[in-house]
Amino acid sequence: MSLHDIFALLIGSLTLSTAVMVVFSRNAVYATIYLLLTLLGVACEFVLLQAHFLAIAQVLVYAGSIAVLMVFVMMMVGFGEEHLEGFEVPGGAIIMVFVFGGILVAAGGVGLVRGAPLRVEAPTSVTSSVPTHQKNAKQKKAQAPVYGSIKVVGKHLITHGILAFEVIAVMLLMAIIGIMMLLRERRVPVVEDDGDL
Amino acid sequence: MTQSLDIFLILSLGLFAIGTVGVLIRRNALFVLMSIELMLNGATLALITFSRSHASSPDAATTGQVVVLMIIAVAAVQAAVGVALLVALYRSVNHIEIDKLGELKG
Repeated sequence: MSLHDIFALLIGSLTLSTAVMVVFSRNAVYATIYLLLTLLGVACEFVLLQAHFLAIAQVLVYAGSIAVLMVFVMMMVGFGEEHLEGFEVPGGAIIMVFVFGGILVAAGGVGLVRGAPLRVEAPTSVTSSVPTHQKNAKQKKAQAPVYGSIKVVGKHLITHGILAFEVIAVMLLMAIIGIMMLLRERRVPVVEDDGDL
Repeated sequence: MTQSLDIFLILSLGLFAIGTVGVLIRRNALFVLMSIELMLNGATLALITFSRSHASSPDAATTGQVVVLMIIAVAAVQAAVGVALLVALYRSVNHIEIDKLGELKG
């Protein structure tokens, strides 16, 4: 068991427990804090998977904006004490939970037991202490583009994924306009009341 | 030295399952939105794990990461629109309990 595995286990168990707390906490503010912790934990797991760029994106987008958005909504909707609800679980939901949970656990268990364990070569030391200018050309050539680096992902994004990239840009614009249309104040036109109708 | 990827798969399974439970049992629409975020995170974690397992062929592996980047963008849009719908809902009926919403029932 390498150091990577130990860290993955530690952060993973932390992430799972905070995820449980998101679902089962009564206060929405606490749930948002736990959601933030869960998202940061997932970002840590991204780092352990060598997806550094995605870890940054995860922290920026999820932890940075989505959690803040949730807190803002709580302010607007006004979560007073009267909104702290328990959950009376409907019977259908329990059946659904068991069915879906059973399927998920069965699929995962079968995959883990029958399939070969997924293993990759753990990365060796990330940076060498040798300054760049002292390296000879051969060593420089040996430094292939690093998996998961911003350079590799960005290049792939604007070459192979350029269509989806543009579509997402349009979709973001549509979302902005749609939200503004949805939430604008509809001003009731003031009817001049001159009294002698 | 090898790094086991099964841990990440189990974590993604757990996140997705917990998110599903949250969507099914919570009545407050805000919690439902948060649970959907959990499910999305589970899915992205699985994608990145499988991308990492193909790290020997960089082109194929990077595709997984690019897809995850797009999922993150779509998730942000989804959260923003969902939250806007919540606010609009709260303005019209003054609560966001999804069990009490039966206006579309025939």
